[in-house]
Amino acid sequence: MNSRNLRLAVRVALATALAVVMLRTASATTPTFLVLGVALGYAVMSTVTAWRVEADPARTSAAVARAFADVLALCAVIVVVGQPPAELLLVLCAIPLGHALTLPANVIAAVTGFALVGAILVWATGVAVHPEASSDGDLLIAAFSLAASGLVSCLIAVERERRTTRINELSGTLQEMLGQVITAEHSERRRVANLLHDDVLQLLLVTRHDVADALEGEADALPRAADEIDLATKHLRRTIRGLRSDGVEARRLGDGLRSLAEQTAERRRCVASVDVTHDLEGEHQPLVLSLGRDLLREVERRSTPSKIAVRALSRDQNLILTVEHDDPSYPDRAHAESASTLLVTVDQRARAVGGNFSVSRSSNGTRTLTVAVPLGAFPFARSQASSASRRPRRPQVADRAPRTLPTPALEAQSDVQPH
Amino acid sequence: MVVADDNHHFRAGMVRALGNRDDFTVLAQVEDGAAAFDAISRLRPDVALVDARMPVLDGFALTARLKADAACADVTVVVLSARTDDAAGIRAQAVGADAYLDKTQPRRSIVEGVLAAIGRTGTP
Repeated sequence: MNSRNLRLAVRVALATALAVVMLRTASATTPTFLVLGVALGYAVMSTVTAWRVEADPARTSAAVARAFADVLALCAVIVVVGQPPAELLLVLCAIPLGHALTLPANVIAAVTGFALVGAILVWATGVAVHPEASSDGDLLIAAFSLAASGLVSCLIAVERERRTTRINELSGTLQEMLGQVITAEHSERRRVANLLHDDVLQLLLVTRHDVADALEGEADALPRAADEIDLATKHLRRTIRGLRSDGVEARRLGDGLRSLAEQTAERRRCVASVDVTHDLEGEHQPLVLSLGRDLLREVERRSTPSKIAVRALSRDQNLILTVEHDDPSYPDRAHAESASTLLVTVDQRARAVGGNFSVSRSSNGTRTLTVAVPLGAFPFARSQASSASRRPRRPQVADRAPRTLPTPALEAQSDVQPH
Repeated sequence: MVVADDNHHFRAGMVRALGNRDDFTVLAQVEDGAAAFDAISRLRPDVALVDARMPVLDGFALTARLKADAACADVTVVVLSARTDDAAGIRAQAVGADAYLDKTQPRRSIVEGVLAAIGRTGTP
């Protein structure tokens, strides 16, 4: 007999035992009869449920053990006290329904309805086995108590199911995001492998050929080899720079965004400005920094702007992050998202915390990528910010004024085309 | 001869090495597979030296396309690759390449490999 059948057998035995106790109780009062009836109903219904619904064995086993213990307690109270007060038994009536909190709302409603109808039928028609237990006021009070506790249990179960649905949705989103992250990682690995193969490896091969030619006496092969090593070094440095994401680890939002914008401007050879409002400057916002990094990467890869403006401000309890650039050929949101894994993950991350993402364009051709996330969604971030605000702040050159990042001289003189 | 490789430096080095010899004339040098197919179809060279990894059409697809085209099937196709495993060589053979050469060896060895491929197929 497997463990599931064993649990079912225990429940059936319990229900049978309760039924026997009911039938053999010589001087049952109404509450006593009701308690036994409800316990019996609960045991029967939960047995049916456990039989029909494939549940987690560990949880089911624990639920059976608790139910068994409670019913034993009920019986013990009845046996020991003999004539327990009606109020005590009414309170005990709610205990089996308490176990129904682990069941779906419709099953709880069925159990409650079963017990309620049973109680009213007993009150209305009397009981053949125990005629003395019929038609007294305690039975009606117990029936309404059952109805009330059943209603509360149903409401709690509905709320629990609503939350379970939400958790499942979030779990689905999380899995989707995980899939996107894996895709993005593969895409990034492929991109880096291509860069290393097409640029660095090929140059090293040519260098090796030229060194071999030089060893065989070709005079101009050696200077060529030296030039190629310089070029390979430059390619390698650029690839390494592209892999770094220093800004995301920053403790302060302003510093992180400036670092990310600086890297993008360097790679894209354009001008970038960063404007972070004073209240957000010292915030520790890893999520916002990762969103900012991906928006800037998106701009870097899919547009050729001459200017990029990054702004972070708080409005209506939301943190608004915008990345604006002046390349009018950049597609609108629908087209941009369909072709960009980065934007899909940005959208998902924003929605997962109750925010949103949009792409807009103005009449002068500028494109703006905007992410809004609720400030309250970051208890960790807020606490970090609070502790950060207690630390002495580094002097800021310009807290609110846009900061223009100069194009690095080395890159400006380089003949290497941006990738 | 037509040389196809997307890396400018490698291509220039091979053209230089081949140009130093009297028995080779480089008719065209191209940087992707589609351009290589057009050049080979148009110029009908004796030999095509193609890189395995190229944009648009890689060296294997290009070779298969050339061998499937009756007008280009007699062109000796030599595939070059920097890969060090056997997979690329097996694939080159499968698509009908006349020779597969390791790109990491010296240019002189590559040129000798091309000569051997021509000798094997009987093309002068």
